[in-house]
Amino acid sequence: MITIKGLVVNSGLFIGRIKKIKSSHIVPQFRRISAEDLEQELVAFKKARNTALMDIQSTLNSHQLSTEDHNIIETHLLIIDDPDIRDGIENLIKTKLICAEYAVYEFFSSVIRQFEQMENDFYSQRKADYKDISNRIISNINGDDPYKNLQIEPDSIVVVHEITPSQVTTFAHLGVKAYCCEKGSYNSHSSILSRALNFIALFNLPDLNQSIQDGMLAVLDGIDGKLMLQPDPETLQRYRQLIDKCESNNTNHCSLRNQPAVTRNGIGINLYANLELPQELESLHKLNCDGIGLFRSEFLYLSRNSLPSEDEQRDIYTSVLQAFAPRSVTIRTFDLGGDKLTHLIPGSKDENPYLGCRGIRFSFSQEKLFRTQIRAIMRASVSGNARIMFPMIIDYSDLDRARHIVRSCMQELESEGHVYDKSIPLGVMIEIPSAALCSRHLAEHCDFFSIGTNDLVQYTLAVDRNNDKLNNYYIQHHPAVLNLIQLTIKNAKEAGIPVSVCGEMASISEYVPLLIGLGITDLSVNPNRLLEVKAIVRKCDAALFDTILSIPCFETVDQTEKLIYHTLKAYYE
Amino acid sequence: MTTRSIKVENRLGLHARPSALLVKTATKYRADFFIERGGERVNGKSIMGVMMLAAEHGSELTLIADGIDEKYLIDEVVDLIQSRFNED
Repeated sequence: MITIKGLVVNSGLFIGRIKKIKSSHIVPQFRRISAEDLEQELVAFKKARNTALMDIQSTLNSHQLSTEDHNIIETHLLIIDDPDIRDGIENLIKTKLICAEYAVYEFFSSVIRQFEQMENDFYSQRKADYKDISNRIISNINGDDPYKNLQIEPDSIVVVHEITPSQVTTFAHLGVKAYCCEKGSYNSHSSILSRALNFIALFNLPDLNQSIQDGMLAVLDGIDGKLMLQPDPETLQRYRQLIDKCESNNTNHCSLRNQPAVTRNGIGINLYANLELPQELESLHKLNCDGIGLFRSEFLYLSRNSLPSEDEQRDIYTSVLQAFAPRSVTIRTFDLGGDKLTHLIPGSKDENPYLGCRGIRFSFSQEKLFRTQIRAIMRASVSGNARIMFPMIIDYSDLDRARHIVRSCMQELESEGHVYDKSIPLGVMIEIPSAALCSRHLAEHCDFFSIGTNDLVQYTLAVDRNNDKLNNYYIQHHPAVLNLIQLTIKNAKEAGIPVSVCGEMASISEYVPLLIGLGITDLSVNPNRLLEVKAIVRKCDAALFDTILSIPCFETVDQTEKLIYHTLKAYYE
Repeated sequence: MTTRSIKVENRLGLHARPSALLVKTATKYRADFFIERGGERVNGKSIMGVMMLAAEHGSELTLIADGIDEKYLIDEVVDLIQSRFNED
């Protein structure tokens, strides 16, 4: 038996067989083009190359790489910039009149074949670089997914080198339950998405691919963070028993399904679910939650070739609103940067995307896109109880500008004879420290707040949550963060508007008593955490509120850690 | 046009790293640059071309540059190959 340690992304236990997934060469759809389309295809190719260059350049700039890794990545830059490759592909497009992505595929296939024929293995291995670049450019052109046609057994433990959010969603479609990834960090988007979709997952298992073979029996311990290859019979037996025990615990939580989320001193807490994809709707029905506290709308734009139309969006929002009516569904408007949309809208990458044109700023810069989304939400609003939430608001002026656009959309709809909810609540996501600090004024002008803790932590502490090397700096319970949360709650209460927490903190057991004690009455959590959170809510009591009330100010990490991991331990254990 | 013959001396030949160095060096100059090996000719400013030569230790190469700064290009590339790409 070999045991390999890894980083727990989402806990759980799983026994299964290893299935390695290599990034294979993407084969795009063959498409003939007409002479009039030629220019457009050449531009698409040029843009895809530029995006690939910028992506790689930013990897080089933002990561401290070993010299060897640096050289490999630099070689990739030279390949993308290779004049013979560029001319070769452009010639294929022009002479054969075929679409850009297929020309890229055809050209690189022939390059890869030539490398395969080399006698010297040391040289022929380099074909991997060309495959990688080909995939990169093709994906940039059409947002295609290399894992689309993959078959996976339900008992597989999938092993990959690196994973992107779109691959996580693909895994969900393929029925994968557990996976391991050689790289990755706890707070990356892939990792958040993996928790939302309830994968059992381990990250950070370097060189795992070298110690495994397909079909190998393995135990994935997502509690202790280890992968055991070819486990001995005793280990296997022990884990089978543990898995049985966990299942019966889950059944106990299930008995909570129809119980109210009320603290012992009688405070009712609204528990909402975060919704990533409409496909999750079905499983949410069973949970009996109070509504959707955060419906992320980004999926509408990713992995596709065209922008979603107003009607298409309206249908999706309508289906979610109908499923939950009369409970509320909070739809957050588009919350990515333009860098994620270059396959749909021409644009360039921000030097520093987290501080760049994303969230509401991107919506303002692409007002037509924003108006389409707002109009779609408004038209769907008659089917249920919809709320609109704006991400990345800095202060009142952002809110005011967004409200103006909503009002103007309303007038448009009115004149076109559409019906909509005239008093649809408009809320602000509190995720930038300035918004928390200006929350008194903001609260007077909007209908609700929702605290997005992930970005609030990131922006307060100036820590990139995707940076493996900064995991120790990403402290969600940092006193600065808690003080901002406390201030936001105080200002919301004074203005008489509801405030919820929809970030990762609301789903982490250890933080739930703290948030309740601070006065939060609305939590929006990952669906798979909802019953667990409810169980904790039902343990909270008057003493908890007294404890937190007696703290005048959060000052040190030691203090908050002592509070969370010691004083409040009894509530979540 | 400037032409020069040279032997690859470093142990691993023109694998990824030396090819990258060679292309980066040649690309600094404006002259066209080609490398020939056993009758096969590739663009010396194309990493794909250079890697496809699979020029192992001991391979004989002909360097051909044509353009305003051809001499300087050849000199620097020759230096690079003779220094064994600072590898061995």
